[in-house]
Amino acid sequence: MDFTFTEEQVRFKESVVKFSLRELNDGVTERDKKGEFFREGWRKCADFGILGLPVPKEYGGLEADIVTCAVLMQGLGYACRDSGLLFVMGSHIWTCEIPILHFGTKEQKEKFLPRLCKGEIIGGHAITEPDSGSDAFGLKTTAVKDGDRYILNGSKMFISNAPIADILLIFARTDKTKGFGGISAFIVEKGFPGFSVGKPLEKMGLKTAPIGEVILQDCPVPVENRLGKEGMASAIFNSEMDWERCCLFATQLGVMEYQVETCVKYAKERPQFGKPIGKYQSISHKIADMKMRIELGSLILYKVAWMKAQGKKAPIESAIAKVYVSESYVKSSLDAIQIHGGYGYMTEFGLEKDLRDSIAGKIYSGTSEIQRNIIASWLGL
Amino acid sequence: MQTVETLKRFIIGEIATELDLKDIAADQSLLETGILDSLGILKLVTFIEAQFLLKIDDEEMIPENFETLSGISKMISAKKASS
Repeated sequence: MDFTFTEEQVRFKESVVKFSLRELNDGVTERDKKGEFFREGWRKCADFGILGLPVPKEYGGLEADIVTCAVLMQGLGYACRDSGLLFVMGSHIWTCEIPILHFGTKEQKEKFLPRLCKGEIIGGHAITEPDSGSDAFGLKTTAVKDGDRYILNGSKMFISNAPIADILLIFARTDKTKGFGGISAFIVEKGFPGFSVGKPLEKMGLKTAPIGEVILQDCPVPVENRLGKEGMASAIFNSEMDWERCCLFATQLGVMEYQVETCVKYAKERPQFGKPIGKYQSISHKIADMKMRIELGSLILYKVAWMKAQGKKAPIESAIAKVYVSESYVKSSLDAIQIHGGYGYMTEFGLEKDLRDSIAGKIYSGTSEIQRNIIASWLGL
Repeated sequence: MQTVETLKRFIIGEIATELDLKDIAADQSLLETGILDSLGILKLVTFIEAQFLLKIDDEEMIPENFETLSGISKMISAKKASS
């Protein structure tokens, strides 16, 4: 088996890393304190082409395949210290662009994809509600057909990008009799009457990635803004989740690579009791574990990417990758702080931010608990 | 008929195990009755692809294709005929 990336993927990743180191890291600590989205960084990423990674060139994208996307996201995770910015980009690309690309009409693709690729509009998706998180398809938001439009009513919670989004893919129930099969997806644009977003929610980490509540009150959405057929939400959601679990979590692998480098450097330079702390097994074994997590996480994540690139379905592999990478990120973030001792606890070093940012990874894209349910279910349990 | 029986055995034995079903009528709604949920459809599609040597695209994983055993059987026949 050949696990090497192509020369083109390696070169592209190197250029993304150089770009990120040069353009995306100034002022991260301040922005994190203030909970401020890095708009200038967003524009720079748009100019570089990152926002259109998987989108065909005819719509202004770079037409990268899923493996290449994961490689580049890993590079971004390694080099960009603003995980919130990467999270905003991830929601924009994997949860909004990808569904429109795969399920949109020609008109929808032409209307939204070029502007999404240029970063002129920011996208996201809204499925979670105050009473339905893990039970995503237990949602209550309704969409009632009324002539050439649907009237949407309901509320969504913890919606990534909501405070800054120009469009959101909103999941709403069009048929109460069919369970998950009665849910449809709609492209709702900021400015539609009856659509409003609450103020950004304060949270533990990913502070530069705004999230908020969305309220829909008799919000009219034209039929031409429905994405796919009625009842297609489950197909759209599952398809998007595989991309999200590969590419969003590839950034976490990148952060873990950065953490290992940082810890190795510190462990070699920091002396205690007459020798570098890296010479003590209690430290070196932690770093060895961090390295193992990257390698094992990469194996499963890129297996999922490869399967998707082959046109195969990867439900169990995708669940395993999500659990393993997200939980590894938390463990490695804790280890990185511990290795650095008091310095690791200080804001200035940036390591405590990684820990705060990492916790959400066990929750979004399907909680660790739900992923374990999925894996167990596939095993017949 | 055989396709329907194959699908039925799989759904009863591997997907809707908690419902303790003895039988499923060919035209019984799998969605309205909760026999198939979103994870169940994924498992069923994986089974169909392996069993019948077909590929089912994401765009085809829509309720109307998975409403009933007859409907799923019809989809499988149509895909086999066109491949």
